[in-house]
Amino acid sequence: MADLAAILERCRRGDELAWEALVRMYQSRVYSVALQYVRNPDEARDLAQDIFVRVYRRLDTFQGHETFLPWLMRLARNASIDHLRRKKARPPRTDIPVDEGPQIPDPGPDPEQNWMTDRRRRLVYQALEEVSEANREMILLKEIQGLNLQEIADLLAVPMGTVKSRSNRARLELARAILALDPGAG
Amino acid sequence: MSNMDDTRREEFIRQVLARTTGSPCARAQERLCAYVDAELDSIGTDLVRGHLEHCGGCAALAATLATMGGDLAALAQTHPGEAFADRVLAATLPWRGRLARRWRRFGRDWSQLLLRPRFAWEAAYVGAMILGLIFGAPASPLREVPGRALTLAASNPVQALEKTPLAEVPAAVERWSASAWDATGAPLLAWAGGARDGLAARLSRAAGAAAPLPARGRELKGACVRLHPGEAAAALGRLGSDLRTIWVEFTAPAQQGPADDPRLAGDNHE
Repeated sequence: MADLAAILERCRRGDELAWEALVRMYQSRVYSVALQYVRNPDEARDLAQDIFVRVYRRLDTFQGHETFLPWLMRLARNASIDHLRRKKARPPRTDIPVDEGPQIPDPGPDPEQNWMTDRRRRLVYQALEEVSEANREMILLKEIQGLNLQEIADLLAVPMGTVKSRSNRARLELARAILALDPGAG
Repeated sequence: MSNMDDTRREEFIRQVLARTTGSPCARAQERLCAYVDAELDSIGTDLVRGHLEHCGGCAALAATLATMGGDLAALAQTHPGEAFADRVLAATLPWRGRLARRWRRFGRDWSQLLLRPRFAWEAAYVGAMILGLIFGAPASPLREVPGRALTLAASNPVQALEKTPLAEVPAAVERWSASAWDATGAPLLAWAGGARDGLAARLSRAAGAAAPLPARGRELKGACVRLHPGEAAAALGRLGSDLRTIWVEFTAPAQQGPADDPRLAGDNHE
C-alpha cells in the first residue's frame, strides 16, 4: 500500500484514485466508529458515508504535521454526536433487531477456532451495549481504534491522568458486562 | 478435613479484612488493568497475583480483561459490506454524489413524513381539497357531477322499487343503474378521455414542430467548433424561434376540446 502522506497529498489535489484508496483503507475503521455510536448496521453505513463526505470536504484543513487517524477520529466522533443529536430530535421509526450484528472479520482458517473467536467477539460486541456511553466511547477510542492516551486527551480535551483512570474504569465495566452475559467467558 | 480448615481460614481472613481495611477485591480491581498490562512493580504484581489465587471473581475478571483486548481491536476491522466504498465514491464525486445524496435524503424524509401519526389527517385534508377543486371549482367541467348524484339519491329509488311489480324489478334496477352511471361516472370518463386526447393532440403538434431541433443543435455546435460568433448567434436565434414555435403549438387550443366531445354533448342534453 502506498504511503499515506502521498495518498493524502494526491487526494487534496483531486486525484480520484487516491481518494478511492483512502476510502478503502479506512472504511472499516470509520464504519466501526459509526457502529459503536448508533448500534445499527444500516444506520451506521449511512453515518459512515456522511463521515467520509465530511472528510472529503475538509481534507484541505488537515495539516501535514498532524497524525491522520486522530484527525479522522475527531471528525467521525463529531459527525456521530451530531447524528445522535438529530436522532434525539427525531426518534427512530423502527426498532433495532436484537440479533442483527456487524460483519466481524474472519479470524482464521480453522473452523472450530473461527467459531470460538467469532462467538467471543460477538459477546464483546453485545457487552459493549451494556456499558455506559462515556465508557463505551473511551473503549472505542483506546481499545478499538488504538489511539494513545495523549491523542485521546487532546480529542476529549481532558488531562491525560483522567483519560488513564477513565480507560481503566471502562475496561473493568466491559469485563464485568462480559462476565454477566457469559459467566464462563473468563 | 484439610479442605474444611482451608475454608475456615479463608472465611476468617475475609472477616478480618472486612472489619479492618474493607473488601480486598475493590483494591485488587483498582490495579487489575495495570496488572494485566504488566505496568505494576514486582511487589504490586505479587500482591494482586496472591489475591487472584484466592478470589475466583477477580480471577475471572482478570482473565476476561486479558482476552478482550484482541477481540476489541478486531472490531475496528468490521467490514461495512462490498458496496460501501462505491456508495462513498458516488456520494463524494460531483453531480452524481450530490444527486444520490439528495435522492436518499428525500426518501428518508418522505418515509418519516409517512410514519407520523398526523399524516392520516393531513392526507385526508389534502384529499378533500383536491376533491373540492375537481368538483367544486367554478371552471371545473365536473362541477355538475355531485349535484346530479345528489338529485339521483334524493329520488329515493328504493321507495320507487317497492311499488314496482316483482317481475319488472330487474329492469328497473338496470335503468336506475344506467341513469346513475350517466349522471356520475360517464361524465368523469368522458372528461378524462377528452383530456387525454387533447394532451395527445398537443404533444403530437409539438413533436411535429420539434423536428428541426437536432439540425439546429448541429448548426450551433458547428458554429461553436469553428469559433464563428456570427453563425453561432444566428443558430441560437433559429433555435429560439423553433422553441417558441413548439411552445405555441403546444399551448394552442385543441380543435376539439373536452367540452365539444360528443360523449359529453349527449350528457348536456339531459
